[in-house]
Amino acid sequence: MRNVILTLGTVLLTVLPGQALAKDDVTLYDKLGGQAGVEAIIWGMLERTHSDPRTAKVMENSNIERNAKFISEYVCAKTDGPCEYSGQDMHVAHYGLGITTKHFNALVEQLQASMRDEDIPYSVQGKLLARLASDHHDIVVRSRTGE
Amino acid sequence: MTRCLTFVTLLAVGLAGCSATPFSLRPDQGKLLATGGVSQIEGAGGAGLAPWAMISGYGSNASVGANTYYTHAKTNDFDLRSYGAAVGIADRVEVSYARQEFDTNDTGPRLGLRGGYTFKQDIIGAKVRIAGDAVYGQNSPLPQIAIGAQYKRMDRDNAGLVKALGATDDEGVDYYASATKLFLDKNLILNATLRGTKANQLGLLGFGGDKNDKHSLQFEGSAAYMVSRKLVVGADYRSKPDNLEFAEEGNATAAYVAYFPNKNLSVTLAGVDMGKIARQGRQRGVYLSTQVGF
Repeated sequence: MRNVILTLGTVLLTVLPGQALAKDDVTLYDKLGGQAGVEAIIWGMLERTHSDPRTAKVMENSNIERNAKFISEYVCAKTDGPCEYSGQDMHVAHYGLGITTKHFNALVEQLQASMRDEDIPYSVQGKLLARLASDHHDIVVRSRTGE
Repeated sequence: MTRCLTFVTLLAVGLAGCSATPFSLRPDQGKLLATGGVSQIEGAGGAGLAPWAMISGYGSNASVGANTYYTHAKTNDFDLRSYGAAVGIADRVEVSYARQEFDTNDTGPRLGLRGGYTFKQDIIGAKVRIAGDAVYGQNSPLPQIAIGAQYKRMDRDNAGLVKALGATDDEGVDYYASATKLFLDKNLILNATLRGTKANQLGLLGFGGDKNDKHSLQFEGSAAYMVSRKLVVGADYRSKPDNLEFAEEGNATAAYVAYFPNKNLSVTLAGVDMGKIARQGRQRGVYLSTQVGF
């Protein structure tokens, strides 16, 4: 039992320092490198989305520049940056595209790869993924059922 | 017969719950790295000791995944070898098989057995995800929840001995419910499992006993931290029943590092404390597990 407590303690101590940072005024947007950082991450992701055979077909009829503009804006707003998202509602934007969880997971991997290219620390990567994770419901679940 | 029904019901409930997404038997590796967990000691998807609510393999909700594993745990007096396979269907249902061999090595003669006497059992497992989404349910307090069962049967030639040691039966079924949640913003995974079991030392010393012959409720907990996309460190705790007069049975703990170089391979190295086993004191040691699959 003592071993468990020690190990759990170690795990928690590794995790908790991340909490302390939340107190200062540095937003997640800042940690991602501000406007330039977010745009680079999203561009890197979309280049992959358009070329990756797992997702290329879904992106066939979409404009990468337009997507980059709106998604960067969306991420900026979601990460406490100084933006207001002016694009379509997530559910409406993806309705009828037939996006599945498999596509969505591929997109997450493309986003992770792009963040690695931009040298975003793994702990910060998780924070962005956490803010975007619930979009899975709008992009995959609702847009398929039209609910 | 009731055991068989339990499994069939679990599978039917699970497959009936599959979504309308077009399903294909072609493996798609459509899940995120490490989200299938590793193979726990009884062959189910989870951490080292505890099953998780995650479904084994990398098949998305429209596909299948599978893996095989080999685990070797070496403690002061014993060796435990476990190997098997698991199939995940539609990220909803998991079916697994495991073989466990518990080698008494030089300790055999101290227990009145021949040297190297080995207790063996087969484990058939089924698990169904019934609620929640561990990965994408980030805004929901609900964890991913799965229920499962593990049917365990000792080899025939071990049955007489475990009964002589006080066990009531040479086969049994464990029932469990697991709740697993991934806290993406902290890269932390927490799991809690409740298990109803009669198994003595996972079932390797039979089921039920002269001290207690009923299913008892046991707790299994895991905490894992994702250091990077490919590297996870964590710890497991697992309480075990204490059914036999002849030897006190203790709870087990493990602390591990799991490495996921890609979706086809994972390697887990752990320090384990399996608790007291067969009057030989606490069994501490190391555990190495390799998992290959898709």
